[in-house]
Amino acid sequence: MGDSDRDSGGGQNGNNQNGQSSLSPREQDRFLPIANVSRIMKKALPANAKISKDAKETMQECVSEFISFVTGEASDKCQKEKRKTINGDDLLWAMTTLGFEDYVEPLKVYLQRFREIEGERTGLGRPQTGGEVGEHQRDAVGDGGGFYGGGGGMQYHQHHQFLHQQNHMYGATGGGSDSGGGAASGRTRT
Amino acid sequence: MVSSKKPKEKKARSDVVVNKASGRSKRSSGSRTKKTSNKVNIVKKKPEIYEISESSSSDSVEEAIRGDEAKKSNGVVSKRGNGKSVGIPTKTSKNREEDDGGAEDAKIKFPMNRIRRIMRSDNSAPQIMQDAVFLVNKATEMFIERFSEEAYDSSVKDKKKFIHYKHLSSVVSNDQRYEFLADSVPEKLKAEAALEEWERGMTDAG
Repeated sequence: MGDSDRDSGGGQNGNNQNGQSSLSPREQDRFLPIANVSRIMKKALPANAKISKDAKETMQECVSEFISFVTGEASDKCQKEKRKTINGDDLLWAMTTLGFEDYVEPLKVYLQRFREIEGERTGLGRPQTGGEVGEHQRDAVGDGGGFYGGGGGMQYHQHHQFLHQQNHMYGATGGGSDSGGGAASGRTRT
Repeated sequence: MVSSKKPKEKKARSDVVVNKASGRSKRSSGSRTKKTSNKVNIVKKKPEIYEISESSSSDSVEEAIRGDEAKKSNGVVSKRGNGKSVGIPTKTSKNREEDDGGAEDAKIKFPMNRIRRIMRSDNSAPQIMQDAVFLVNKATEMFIERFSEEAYDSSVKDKKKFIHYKHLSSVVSNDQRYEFLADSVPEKLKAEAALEEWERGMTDAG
């Protein structure tokens, strides 16, 4: 877990090591990585601004409070409406209620973009319902295979199958998805 | 539109299940072991990666955060995708890695699993959709940026070169929207008192 924190922190190994040494592993999970927090703080300030370490650590705590605060409000709303899943709209509502209404419009833009990306990747596969592609051809096509082989039902079946495999596949699949999208769009243009 | 919404929901729920499992595996094994076995899996089960990639598009959001894993798996996949090797394959794969990483990094600033864990730390609702985690990621970024700007203004008025704790606590005291932080970041009466408190805190920690 320590290594993954360093990876997510990018090139600021010094800060990361400091952060890790001062916090126990369990306590560390309660906060976002201090290197990420620090980078965002600096991005928002003039170049000559300097931030003390105690301010960075305080911001880490404030961020966790903010996340719990907003999530708690959204969760209460879901319980009242007898729903068991918190979605993006619940959080937008919670921010409006809690005094962060000026966050809502920019976040709607991001949310729309996020959903469009997912929609594109899902949509690209669905129209392509040709015959099954042999394994050899599938390899040749590469990451595009998922788009051209089988119908929707097979997709869910394979996805379900995937859930029972090792977790490491999870990351690899994500990578494949990126390249697959590129390959598919390339073919579409041709 | 209507027909496409239902599949999304199903996939989102699946993602939640996967995330739970991946969270557990992180605790049980070291990251080095994880990386090694990741390579093995890629080699053994390449066809399945291609078939599943469509339904796992949201995974790529989290994948981008794990820089090393993303680069490795992208390299493997893109090399295959090329088929015909025009020019030097190494350069091609490197460019793709950078493009993917850059595009994703522009959107995601914090580890999604960490945010999800904080979101679930004190809530009874067990299910959180992927778009909600993504939204909190962006909201957190906005929160830090705006809070930092106000703290900077506070430090300028104080004529200090560094932003200190008291500048954050000053913002908390003066802006009603940050009232929920009053318990976490209480205001100090004087700078000297704040320093004394800080020193005591350091002594306790040591």
